[in-house]
Amino acid sequence: MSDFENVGGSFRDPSGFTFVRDGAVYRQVNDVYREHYDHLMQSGLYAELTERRLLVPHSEVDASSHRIPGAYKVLLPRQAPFISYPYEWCFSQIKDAALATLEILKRALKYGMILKDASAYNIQFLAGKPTLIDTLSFEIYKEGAAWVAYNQFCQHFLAPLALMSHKDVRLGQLLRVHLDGIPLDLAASLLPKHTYRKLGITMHLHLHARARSRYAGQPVAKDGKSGKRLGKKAIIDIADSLRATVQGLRWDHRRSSWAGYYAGDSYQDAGFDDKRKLVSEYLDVATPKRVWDLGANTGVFSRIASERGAYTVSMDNDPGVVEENYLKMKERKEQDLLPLLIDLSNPSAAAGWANEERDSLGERRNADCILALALIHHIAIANNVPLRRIAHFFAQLAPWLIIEFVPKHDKKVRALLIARQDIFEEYSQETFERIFGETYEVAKREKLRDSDRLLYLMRRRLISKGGNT
Amino acid sequence: MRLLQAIRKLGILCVCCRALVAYLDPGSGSLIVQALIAVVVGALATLRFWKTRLLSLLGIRQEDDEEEADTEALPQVD
Repeated sequence: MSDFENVGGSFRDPSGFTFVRDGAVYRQVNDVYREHYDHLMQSGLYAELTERRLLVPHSEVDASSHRIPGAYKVLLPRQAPFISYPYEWCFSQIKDAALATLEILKRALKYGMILKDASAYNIQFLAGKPTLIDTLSFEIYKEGAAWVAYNQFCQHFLAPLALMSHKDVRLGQLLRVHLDGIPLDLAASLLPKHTYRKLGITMHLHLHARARSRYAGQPVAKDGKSGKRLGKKAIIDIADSLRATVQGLRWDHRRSSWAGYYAGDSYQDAGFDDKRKLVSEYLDVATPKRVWDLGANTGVFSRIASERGAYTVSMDNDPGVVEENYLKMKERKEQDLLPLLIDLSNPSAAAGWANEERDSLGERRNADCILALALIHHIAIANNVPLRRIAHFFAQLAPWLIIEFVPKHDKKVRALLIARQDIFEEYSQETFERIFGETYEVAKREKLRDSDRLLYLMRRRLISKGGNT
Repeated sequence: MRLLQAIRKLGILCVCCRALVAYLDPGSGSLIVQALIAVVVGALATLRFWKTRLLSLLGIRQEDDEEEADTEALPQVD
């Protein structure tokens, strides 16, 4: 039998867990969950949700794959090409994930089930659409029960969205620290006073935060008995109210500092067309199945890769351009592209219990080719990272590299040096080629028209255990 | 807060997390606030229903459902 490996973030829910075998992710359904799983599959809910691409489809596999006693079924879900986390999503990605969660909740209630959790980590963008990947998130609804995951929904979705919309979009990064969502008292204290004018935010955030603090550790009914119960209709009303509140939250991404990068004078149109052509040619040589575009801006070059069928993760650290990239992806119904908010100077770290619940960006590497276009000067000069370290970092991520070298006399580099001392003696084409040549073989090199920029296709030589060449 | 306490005293609420597979702590405050919100949202829906009926009786045609977000706005309170 092949080796199993537990997935680090899958241990809280007693209904089952995920594990990896031969590179594929499986989900075990425990016996305790049998009744709920059967209801999900037989009621029509699974069929409806998978047809609408709201739930990941799966097949049941041979029982010999069972890992521990108590297993009822083992599922092989359709595999996600990349696992992303809510703190890597732009505003509209979080919003769409929230709306998908509420839609799933309402459809579940129609079939006599309810979502027993509402974690943003259970949503992944599969073929461009927010999709629930945790098949065990449902339980049979007992008439009269409240929605147990209401607070989780508010912390994971509503609080970050409200803060990003009404205060500052960068506050979405609080999700990096607060893995179970932004505490409501913190969100309420950061939100401006005018948010009290919004009924939804007042109820679901401000009042909710106060109630949680007021009744922390207290039983709900003094005598321990329950009086009149909440009905299914009440939960549907709450879900509708949450949906209206989420839909009412907006953020104007056009104010981003990078959104107009290509519209400016970065380089001439001919040079830009030349670069598109060369990137296409280089991709045809490398023929990657998966590409990571680092510093992708709005994804112009990512699309050259994704349109060739390569699943492309399009990363940038500017919330505005990631938003634009995502909205464009949605509009065009692109399925092989995933825009993400990633700061390369501080990429997502491993987090959670034993640092194993959420993988670092490096741990999730699965690309065959890195695109690093008009990027190196930002890393080497704006962030003071030596060229050798940059080469090693890229080499750890993928075997192929398409990289643009922007010389020091380029307008964009001069702009970076305008108010600071030039301490970057090693930053020259010659040194760049020498240092990257230690790690890579240069397969192709072309000068871009109308500029002194150079575009390289490089192939990694070899990489030792420690990541050093 | 008084309103929340009153709801609690009246025993309007209830709460059941009976399912064996429920593993999240819903939090007492979150359960109480759900009951309150259900009452508020239910009342608003009833008001909207009667408003539509009344307007249609008077022969005043309302535009199709306005953006729900707009109906979320409270009257100016500050």
